[in-house]
Amino acid sequence: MDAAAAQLLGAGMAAIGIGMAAIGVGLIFGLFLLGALRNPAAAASQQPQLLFGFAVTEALGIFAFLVALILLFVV
Amino acid sequence: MAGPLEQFEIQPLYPIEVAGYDLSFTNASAWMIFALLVTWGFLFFGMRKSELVPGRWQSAVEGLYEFVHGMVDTNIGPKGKKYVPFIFSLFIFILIANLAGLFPYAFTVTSHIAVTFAFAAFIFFMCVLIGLAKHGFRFFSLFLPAGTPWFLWILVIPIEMISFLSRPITLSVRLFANMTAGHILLKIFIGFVVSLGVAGGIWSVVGILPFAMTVALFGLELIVAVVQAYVFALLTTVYLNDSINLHH
Amino acid sequence: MTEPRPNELPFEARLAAARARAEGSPSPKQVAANAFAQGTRLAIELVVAVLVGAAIGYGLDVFFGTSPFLLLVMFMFGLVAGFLNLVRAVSYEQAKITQAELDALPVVEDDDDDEKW
Repeated sequence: MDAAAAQLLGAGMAAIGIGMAAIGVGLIFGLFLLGALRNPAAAASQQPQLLFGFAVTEALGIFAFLVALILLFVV
Repeated sequence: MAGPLEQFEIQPLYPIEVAGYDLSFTNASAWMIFALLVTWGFLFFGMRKSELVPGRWQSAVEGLYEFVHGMVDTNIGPKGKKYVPFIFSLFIFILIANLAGLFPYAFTVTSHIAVTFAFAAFIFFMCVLIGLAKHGFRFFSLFLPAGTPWFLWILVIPIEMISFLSRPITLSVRLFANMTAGHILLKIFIGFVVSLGVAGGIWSVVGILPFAMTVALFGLELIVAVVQAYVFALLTTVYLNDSINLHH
Repeated sequence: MTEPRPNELPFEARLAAARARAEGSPSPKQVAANAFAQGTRLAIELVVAVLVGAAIGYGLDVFFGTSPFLLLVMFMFGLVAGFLNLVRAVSYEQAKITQAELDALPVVEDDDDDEKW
């Protein structure tokens, strides 16, 4: 295989990780709303936990994005 | 049509070369000077009369100053009073630069990592120097939270150092990434409007959708421009607080 | 009918109390939107700490010629530092929320007035 083609393929595969992070973020917010709508009074007190889970998931997506960028522009 | 990244290109307007270095007057410099002039005009003409009962313009200036003063006061306390002018200049310059970048054909100064990192590095060294001047070598106790047992030092010190060193980078990357991503997105949607309009027939009608999206995104970008300037100033005060008051 | 109805004032007081309570606790949608806006900035915090740790490790590796052990060690330290940053930012948020809840407490009013009209 051509080296440039392999590079682009690798970058595209790394981008799958961003989609996976999107699934995780969707799960976190969906489950938060599921619980929060049953007990809206408790929603505000759970915001830090929501924030923490979201930030960690999103960070993994950003790592995948960085891998894609490194494959495209650095390697 | 121009690509989405073309808006970030730096073009020299007036080439200057000093001792082999390219010091040209570029469009980035022009827009920085523009932001400076707008800031100066806003403050100078707002406070020129400076009446006891402020008019509309004067109360806008005073409101902005009160806002920054309140932010510094809640985060640093009475010792932070002398840093209010610095935070205020930083806030208003980034705010005007962000907002000026939203005009069509404008250049967004803060969408360049060189600009935001220069700010962040300056703030970082300022924090270190203020901390060293105020507390001497006790400033390095920032890397060692109180009550850490001695056998954990070898773990805690590198972690705290990395945490401290990552501050200027998060500060600069956040502003840069937000401005760049927003402007690329805007440009892409505006490109859809143009190419659908040119396509003719039913496609020109479909072009209304990306146009509506552009309007919505533009509103979002206005919010982002203000919020990012605020976050930059807020985090600067939080970091300064660590150097001035020195306890977690 | 121009004369004030007898329970007009209690109703307004009740309305004000209800409004204050409603503003004290934001809706789940507001909470989620706020968390999304804040979360992106915290995610950058975590990523940057890991990158700074890895960069320091790489630099030390080049300096001492011990590739790739220091890189891996400092990568782990960076990960811990990132989580530390995250926990600190989140506990800052938590402190703000508990403060807001304390501020919102005394708005609860006795609204079981038995006036008839």
